[in-house]
Amino acid sequence: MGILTHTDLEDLSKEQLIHQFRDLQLRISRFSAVEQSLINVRDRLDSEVVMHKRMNAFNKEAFEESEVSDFLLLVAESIIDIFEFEIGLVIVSSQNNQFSLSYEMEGFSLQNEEAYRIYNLINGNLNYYENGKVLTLNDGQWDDLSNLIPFNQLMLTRAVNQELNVSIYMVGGVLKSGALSYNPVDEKRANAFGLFAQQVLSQFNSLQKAKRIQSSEYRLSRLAKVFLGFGSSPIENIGKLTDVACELLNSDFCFYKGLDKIDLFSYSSSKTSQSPIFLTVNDIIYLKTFIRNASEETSIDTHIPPDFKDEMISKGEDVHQFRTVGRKVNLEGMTTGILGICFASATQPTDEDKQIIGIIAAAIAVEEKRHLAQKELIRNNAELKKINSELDNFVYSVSHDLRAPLLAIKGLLALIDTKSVDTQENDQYLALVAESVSRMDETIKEILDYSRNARLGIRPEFINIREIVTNAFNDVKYYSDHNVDLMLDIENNLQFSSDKPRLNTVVKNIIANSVKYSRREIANSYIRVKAYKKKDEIILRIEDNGEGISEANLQKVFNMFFRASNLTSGTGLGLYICKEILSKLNGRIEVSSVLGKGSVFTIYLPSKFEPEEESI
Amino acid sequence: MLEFYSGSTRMVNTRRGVSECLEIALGNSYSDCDLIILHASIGHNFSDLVDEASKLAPNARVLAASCCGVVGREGVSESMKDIALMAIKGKEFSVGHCVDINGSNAYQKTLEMAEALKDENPNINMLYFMAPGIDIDNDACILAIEEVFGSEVTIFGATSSDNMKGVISYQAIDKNVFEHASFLVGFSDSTLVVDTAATHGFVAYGEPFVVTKSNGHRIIELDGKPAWSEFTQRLGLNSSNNCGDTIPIGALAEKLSEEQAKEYGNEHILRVVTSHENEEMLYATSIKEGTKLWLTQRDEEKIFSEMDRIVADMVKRSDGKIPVAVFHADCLARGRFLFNRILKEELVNRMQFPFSNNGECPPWLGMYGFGEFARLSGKNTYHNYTTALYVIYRK
Repeated sequence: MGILTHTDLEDLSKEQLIHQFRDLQLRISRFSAVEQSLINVRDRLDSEVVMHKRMNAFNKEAFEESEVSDFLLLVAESIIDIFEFEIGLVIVSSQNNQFSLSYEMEGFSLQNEEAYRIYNLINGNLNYYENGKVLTLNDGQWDDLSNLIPFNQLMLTRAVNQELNVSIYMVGGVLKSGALSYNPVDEKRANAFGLFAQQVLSQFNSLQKAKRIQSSEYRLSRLAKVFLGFGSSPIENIGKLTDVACELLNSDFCFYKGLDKIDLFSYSSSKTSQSPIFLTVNDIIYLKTFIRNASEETSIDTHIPPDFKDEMISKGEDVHQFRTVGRKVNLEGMTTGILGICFASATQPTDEDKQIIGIIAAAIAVEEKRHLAQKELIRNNAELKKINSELDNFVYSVSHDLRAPLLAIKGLLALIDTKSVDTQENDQYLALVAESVSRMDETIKEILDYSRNARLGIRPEFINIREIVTNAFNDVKYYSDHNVDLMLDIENNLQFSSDKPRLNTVVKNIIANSVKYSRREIANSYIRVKAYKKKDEIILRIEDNGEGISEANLQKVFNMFFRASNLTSGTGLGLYICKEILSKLNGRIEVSSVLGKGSVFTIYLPSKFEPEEESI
Repeated sequence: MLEFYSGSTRMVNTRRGVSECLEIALGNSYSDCDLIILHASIGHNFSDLVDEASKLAPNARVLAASCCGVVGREGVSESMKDIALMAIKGKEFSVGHCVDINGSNAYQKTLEMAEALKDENPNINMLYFMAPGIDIDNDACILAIEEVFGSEVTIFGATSSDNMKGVISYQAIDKNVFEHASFLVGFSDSTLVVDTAATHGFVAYGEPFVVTKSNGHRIIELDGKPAWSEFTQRLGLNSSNNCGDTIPIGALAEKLSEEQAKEYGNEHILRVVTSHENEEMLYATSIKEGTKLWLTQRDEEKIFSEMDRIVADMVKRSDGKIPVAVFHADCLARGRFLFNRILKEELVNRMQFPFSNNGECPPWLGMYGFGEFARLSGKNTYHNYTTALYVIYRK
């Protein structure tokens, strides 16, 4: 009926008027009902505004302070609060198959396994729907999910970001016991529920991003703190680096092992206070081999060191989840050590983790370089001290040994009377001058030998040891008026290369000493020379039955300017020069002697000479 | 002297919600609290609610009632998981309760409860009463309490509710949770006085129903026809609808006397039907045959103007005194089922702001329930569909 006018009403009977009146009353009631429905819709919209505000507030204010678990709990609570369910459940499946679960409801317990089944249920049911669709399930539709049987109705949805491989699964539910009080799970809430899931996904991704940035900032500042706290000891610094690697990567233990240097080893365990994990030497060798042989600079694999495995088995723990992330530590193109980061779980390092490992490895390489430089410095210092000491000694001895004959010459020249007719006396003086000059010449020659050895580079050539020994003996056999026999025992086809002039000097010095210090009281003085090859060395053994060297002097004979007695002639440089030459030739010399019976000098030379870099 | 502290939250976890409310109210000093009155939405687990409160405040008596939403100093919250509380320090109070109360035994049960309370504490000068929301005769309750304490002692309070489904309501006394219980808190702090007022802002329209057959608080027939069918038919619904459908639009109005109407600002007092058993409607008070009941329509302008009027009157009556606490009962049909959030928050702000001191709202505990107790024309009266404020001052 249309709008009634005053005239219309005048024409109506009483019954018609009562009917119109009741109709009007009903219209008012219905208007009230419609108005009420509108209020309900507005209230629902209000809830959605609250939902958006809450998410927005979380975005702006809480990212820095909150963890992912806080966010997921907020989502679970919002499902209850905004959508008026008795339980709110949110499952996140993210990169690297990480699976997070959060739910809110007193007295309700859900294990991860059950959550997986819910996750599968949603996937199974929503596969035919587009992203963001909502599924409502009624009682009895989830008999296989025992923990959800107490629920009367469920609303499920998911939101997927395929690009980031992150999925959010949301479940709201009403218990059978609460079904009378709670509103039925109907389509009225479904759209908002789906939208909410999308919003949660968006916020989750933002939060993850914020957390990653936060985590990166923390890691970098932590690393910077470690770097700034470095002390002077590279080994201690490497220890700090393995510690921080353990902490930042949340690994169970971490170690660095120098490949060739036993003194560079560092081991950290982040969980020592809970369940200490110790690697044995065998374990380290095992892991070292794996990392060293890996083709990639950073290698990841599941390896269980044998001793560690035994230990885990003895504790009844799972040994199938042990993972090692290995990193070669390279220094100037050479692998100098290995860095191992080990997890007692199947942890998969992220790209950022690998970058952190790379930074730590680079820092270790720098520390290793410092360590080597420090060692070099210490060695050079010792060398310089020795040289300095020798130089002092040298200057003193040289000035002494040169000055003594000079003074003698000066004195003798003063005695020579050129006007004297007694030429015999003058001749004696001149003979003594000549002897002094000869001594000076000998000293200067030995100094030149020493200098030549120090200054000149090695020039390897084929060595005929028989010839060298024979020539040397022929040169010096007249140093004594006593007869000394030379006996040679040279291995056939003995071939090697070395620096011939230097070897001449060495052999001549030793044989000259044997001649000079031969015993006059015996008739069969000899020098027996034996030369042969043993493994990679040429051995030259020079034995005499001369005066020998006392035990007290035996260790000093190779010192610079050492002379067993002031009565002996010579500069005291001969054997010192021998030792220096052999050092230069990558060889060495040893001596054994019995005073009064003779001496044995043994020279060791590499059969294959590999010269060091020459310095001129 | 009693001291009052309040807190409210929308936190969904019951135990954490109680903890948060107590922290808001008392900081960290809950242990010396003597009485906690909790209002919580029906979605909470009431056993956990009172258990947590008792655990955190082991020396306190703990009382709780279910509702459809709460109002605190922090504002309005209407979800399935709201909590608000008033924490009271001081010994000048006593608590009585009765269980298994319903419309038919309301007078007797309440009388026994009131007598026990009076025996325990004869100095009670005001009473906070919480009745169950479904199947209760609130007039009978008032009569019984006045029988013991006299009509001059002010009864203020509410009836507990669910979320307007009319299915269930909970009451808890210490660690015991009930579905049909009442509790009565008698305050005996002689330094305190309470002022009460209620308003609804609905207008009656059309031809009234006439109650042609009733029994106590049960209406059996309206206009000579089965009551529920007649009622729902007039509302444009059918008899298969439930009270959740009728409550928002089915406020029934009884005519007030001229004097009462003047004070009330309305010619009618409203009544709610909280439940029905087949054709019998469970009315919230006793109802006599021959009573006329009008349907009503909300009048938004009147709701706001009447609210402003009663608050202004109360402030005027306070003579400049600052409230020490405000209890507040609102009909659940005036919450999310009456206004959208913005209007409702504005309405609550307009009732809280005038009682604020330098912008600080006094401790405030309000609930959205099925009914409200407030004095009208100097008499303790049960109301429905109203906002009822109970402002406590120190003399």
